[in-house]
Amino acid sequence: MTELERKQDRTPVPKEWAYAPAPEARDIVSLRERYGHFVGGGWLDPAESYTTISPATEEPLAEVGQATAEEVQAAVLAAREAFENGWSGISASERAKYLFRIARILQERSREFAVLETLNGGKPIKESRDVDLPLAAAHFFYYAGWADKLEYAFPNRRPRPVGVAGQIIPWNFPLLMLAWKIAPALAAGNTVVLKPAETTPLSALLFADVLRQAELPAGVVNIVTGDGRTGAAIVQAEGVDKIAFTGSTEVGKAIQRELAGTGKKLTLELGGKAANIIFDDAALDQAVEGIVNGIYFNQGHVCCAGSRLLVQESIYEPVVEKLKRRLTTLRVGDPLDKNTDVGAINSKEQLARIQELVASGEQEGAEIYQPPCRLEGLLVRADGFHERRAELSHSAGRDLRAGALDPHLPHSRGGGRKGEQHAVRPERRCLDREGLAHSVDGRAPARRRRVGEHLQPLRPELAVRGLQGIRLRPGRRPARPRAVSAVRRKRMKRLPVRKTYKLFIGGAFPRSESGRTYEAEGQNVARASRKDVRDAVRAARAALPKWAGMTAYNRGQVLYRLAEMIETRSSEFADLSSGREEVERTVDRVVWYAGWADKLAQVLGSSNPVSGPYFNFTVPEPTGVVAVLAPEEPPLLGLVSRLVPVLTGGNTVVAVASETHPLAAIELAEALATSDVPGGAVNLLTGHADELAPWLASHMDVNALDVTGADGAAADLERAAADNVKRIVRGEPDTQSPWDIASFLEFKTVWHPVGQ
Amino acid sequence: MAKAPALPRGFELPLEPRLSRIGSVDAVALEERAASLAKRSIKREAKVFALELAVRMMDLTTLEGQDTPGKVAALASKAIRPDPSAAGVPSVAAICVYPNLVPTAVARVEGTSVKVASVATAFPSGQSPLEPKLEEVRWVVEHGADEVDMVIDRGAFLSGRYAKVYDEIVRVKEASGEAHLKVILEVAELGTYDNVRRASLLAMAAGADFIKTSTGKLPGAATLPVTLCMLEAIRDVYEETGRMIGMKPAGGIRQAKQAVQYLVQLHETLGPEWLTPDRYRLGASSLLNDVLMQLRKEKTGAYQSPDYFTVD
Repeated sequence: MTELERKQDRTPVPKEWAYAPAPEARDIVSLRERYGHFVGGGWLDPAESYTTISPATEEPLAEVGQATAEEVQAAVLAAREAFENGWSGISASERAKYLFRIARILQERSREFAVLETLNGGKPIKESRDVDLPLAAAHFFYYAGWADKLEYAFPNRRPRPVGVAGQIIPWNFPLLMLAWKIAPALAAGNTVVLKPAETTPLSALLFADVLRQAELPAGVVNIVTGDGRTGAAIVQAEGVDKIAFTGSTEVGKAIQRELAGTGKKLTLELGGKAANIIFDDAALDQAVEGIVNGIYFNQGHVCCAGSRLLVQESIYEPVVEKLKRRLTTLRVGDPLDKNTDVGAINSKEQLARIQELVASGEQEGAEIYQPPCRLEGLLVRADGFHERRAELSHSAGRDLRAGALDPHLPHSRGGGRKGEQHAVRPERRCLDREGLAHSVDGRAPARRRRVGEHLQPLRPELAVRGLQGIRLRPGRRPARPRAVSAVRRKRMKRLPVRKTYKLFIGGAFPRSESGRTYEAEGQNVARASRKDVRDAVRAARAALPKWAGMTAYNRGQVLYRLAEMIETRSSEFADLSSGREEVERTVDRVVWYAGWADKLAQVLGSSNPVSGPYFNFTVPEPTGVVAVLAPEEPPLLGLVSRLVPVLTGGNTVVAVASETHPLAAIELAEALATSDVPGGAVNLLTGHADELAPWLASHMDVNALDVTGADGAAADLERAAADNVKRIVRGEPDTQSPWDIASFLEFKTVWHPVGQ
Repeated sequence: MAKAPALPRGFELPLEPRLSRIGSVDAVALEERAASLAKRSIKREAKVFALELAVRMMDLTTLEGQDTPGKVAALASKAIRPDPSAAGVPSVAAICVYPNLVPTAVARVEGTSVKVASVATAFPSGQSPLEPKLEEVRWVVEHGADEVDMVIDRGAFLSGRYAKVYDEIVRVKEASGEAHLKVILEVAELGTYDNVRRASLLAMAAGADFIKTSTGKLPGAATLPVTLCMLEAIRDVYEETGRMIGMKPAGGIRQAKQAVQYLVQLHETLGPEWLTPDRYRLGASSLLNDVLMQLRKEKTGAYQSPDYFTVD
């Protein structure tokens, strides 16, 4: 052992591990200074407006409209017109395709929406990223599928649209609530006037841009912003056929009263107070996770948040101890930080309400537990009964107060059915008023079922949950012939299904790890990040033995097959490039290089005269993983001219496509995927070249860099490339030459002794 | 079920009443929790901290039929000084070898902080009579092993002969003397999280200093949920007895990112007290190079290539 090894560091291990801040970049969202109302496909200048803020910092984000009754009426008229003049008349399959488009666009722009949702609403980015956005897209996707299958959901009942739906949604899941409301309404053929919550209008306003990209006909969705006055105006507006409301029980009641006698349809989704019932045979650590998810998810801003806890007496102590300890690990902080578990309370008013309710609980004799991470409290009742009301904050304020005044919520005493009754009875009592979603933890399936039956408060629901805005006719009654207007009879042009433009890594087509896209050639194109660069290089390295290890003859055949694949897609490529001529030249170029693959050794290798008893020869070998920055123009031929010679030599490639014309590269990826090129031999990234190129240039596992497409910035790239002595190649966007192959080859010289 | 007093609380009872005292595991919620902890974003100095800690906690392992004294010597050098070009990178905790190679390993790490762990007790199957197992344990300890990684008798466990499993651990613990005892449950063969929890509690009650997921010889070795399940069992033992038992996930941990996920899980389940090689180990072989690459990436800002790190 060397002296150096003996001196190896033996200092004690440090114990503190504070996670470094990990904020999600917010520059992906660009907000306007002012927003109007989105009416009839355009923006209506608001008469009044207010400032919407980030609740985490109180930073003003934008000015948004406070819609007046007149403005609301204008939106309803636009919706009515869209309903009469087309939307309800187009075929259901066409409606479905619009909704599918919206789902896709939400997926493509998911990170942008997630950041905005967190900025404007205060919820942790990990929730908006992993829950709100995927679910919102999933709702559109789900209801899209229903649009032309309604007769299977409601057999013999001739489902028809109701007309114009006025929709009022809360602030706890702004975009997801929008999806809950808009997707089913549109699927059923209705048009919509939607009002997002006063404190969280921005994701709905950005959603208007999704509608533009989806080319949804004007007026089918209208978005007006404002406070409760605007909501009231929607309820009272003429020409609204149905109101859908999610929010507080108080407002729900007021709406129901207001609509009495008008014949307008109404759907209410109101607040509740849920219980966690935990029996002694529950898996305790997981039951605690259930409690924490039930009440701290989204800061407890959930209509069915589990705000009560009923625990069997024999496990009361360990459950409360485990819960307290678990609460200390919650990370409260900047909602944009990826490690934040509990973000900002949605508004000052809401915070004040929580604090007031906690104080009232304490006055009633409950004891508060406050973990070091400063939550708004866990209340444990002092008199042997207990009730947890941590983060008591959802839209139903009155319910909470009722909860606080509820005399006794005994935890179950002992096991057996009697114990179950103890647990269930108080819950049943309040279920009629407030129950929404309870959870029962315990192993025994029979008990879970029994308790579940006691708790079952809801009317049987329709099999298709949530499809709203449907007028149903009883079965078998002959339907009146429907009046068909002249407009409706007009045949709509078929709505084409569009492509989702993704990256090409390791033979698969993933979205960018970053969840980002940018708009190019009128499409949302994946905007790769450095982590996609990392993955692509890893894939290229993994594919190298296979591609480089093929015989040169085989490689040539595979490249020829690629030419075949491009030729068969030539009309698609023609649309995405300068035209047919560019495609033809591309195919011919690939064929030319395919023919080179098995001639490199002959032309570029040599046997060398040396002074000595040696047979001395030189053979070309691939240099390894090559990064290619494709030229901006021509979009197809430029990329292929740089890419194919590199492949011909047996290298694998990570290429960054033309930033302004990336679609041809993505089409090429599809041709590659259907040719016999091994997965990972070519990886294609789209995005901002100046963001990606430095990571490729400095990457120690990239062996050569083609900077043909880098204008100006190449000096920095070349400097970064020096660390592992990368080959730097600056070529032409439109050439073909064996020297372009040779640029990416290493020449190995062998001294072989000859003699006796 | 003989020897009732020596069994942990609850094990002497028939199955039904035993269950509630040993507790159970809900697979769905366990896996959800493990998945959510795996999403923590550990950046910059926090990442460097985790990566260096992962090195300090590593049991650098070679357990192959083809192991030679030369390979173990190379492994020992790497264990002592993982990155020859970066003096700041600490030594690993231990090297883990087969009994035959213990003498070589001991000679190579002498005078350093690196410990020698040996597998024993008819690794990996454990399907041998007790006496030869004990003999093997005594032999490796005599030859200088600091730590013994034993396997439980899964055949006995799965056929309900818990007392046999328990007694065997007790005897191996005696035979280990001063050496630290890690008890391998081989979770892939136990089938359910409930079984993993039961086996964990049994091993801890019988005297394990560490409980360890796997031999590394089967697919489906260490996973985040199964490790979380074992950490929760350790926590329950700590709450009840004050004993701090160590944890060693092993098998299938190949990437630095995984190592960080395991440490986050440890940190948020057992707390900072367990963030030490005395109470946590990562059993791995190829993991070390990936961690070294990530450390250098944090230092230089550039993604690294395996070309610049030693081949194991």
